[in-house]
Amino acid sequence: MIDCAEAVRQLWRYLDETLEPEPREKVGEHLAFCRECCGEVEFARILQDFLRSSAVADELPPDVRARLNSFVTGLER
Amino acid sequence: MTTSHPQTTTSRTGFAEAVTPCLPRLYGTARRLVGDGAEDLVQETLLRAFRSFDQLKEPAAIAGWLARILLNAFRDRLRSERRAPAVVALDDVDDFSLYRHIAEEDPYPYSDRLHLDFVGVFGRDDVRAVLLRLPLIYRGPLVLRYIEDYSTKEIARLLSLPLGTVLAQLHRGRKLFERSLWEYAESEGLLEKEAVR
Repeated sequence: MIDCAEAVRQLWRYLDETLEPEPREKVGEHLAFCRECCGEVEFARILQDFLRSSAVADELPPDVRARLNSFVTGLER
Repeated sequence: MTTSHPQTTTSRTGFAEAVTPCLPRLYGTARRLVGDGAEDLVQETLLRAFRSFDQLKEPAAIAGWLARILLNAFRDRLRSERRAPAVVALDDVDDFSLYRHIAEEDPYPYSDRLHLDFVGVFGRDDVRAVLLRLPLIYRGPLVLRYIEDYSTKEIARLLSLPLGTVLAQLHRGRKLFERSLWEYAESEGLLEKEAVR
């Protein structure tokens, strides 16, 4: 059975489903009895959503738009 | 011989018309990856795209084509970064757990939702500021995986890196992100009781 430190090291990959079957199974076994690490998993999920929601929107400020348009036009000349 | 077809791009004519609708998306991705250097990265992308515009055979695929060119340009920046890595303390970062650190430090002693309170004090600008503190080699995979939603295999292909390298960079990037969140909260006074919303 892996300990908490080992489980914590692998939690994000566990959530990402990028662990090989054997370590994935070991993390799963650990989570089945460790309440503290279940809290870690939940928090890692929150942090992933948090990262996603922080993304800047696909907006082009007017001054940047003007400069990029001018750059593109310059390329075609 | 190249044949001309209204639906097929066979020259650089029409480049501006084709790329202009893609600029907001391109600039958004560049900002998430490099912050203030976004405009330079987009210009570099446009220059590369212009030079190879006659290779774009399917005009409808231009958004994905431009995104790949942008990530190629970004990959070249990553290579420069690897040659001159930013100085950042990596001691013990692999074992850092923000979850446990928050519980140990207990910044909001009267809270029964300690971890959610911690996350709640960050605005979007704060999270972006934290991300931009991370060295490019860790920020890049993190942004591509969790914001741009590429799979780890796609990231490896796009950045021309072995999958194991991407997984290792993601691991370290996540841990650095967790630690940087705490350091940022401390330095910006977000841990004071009155800062809890």
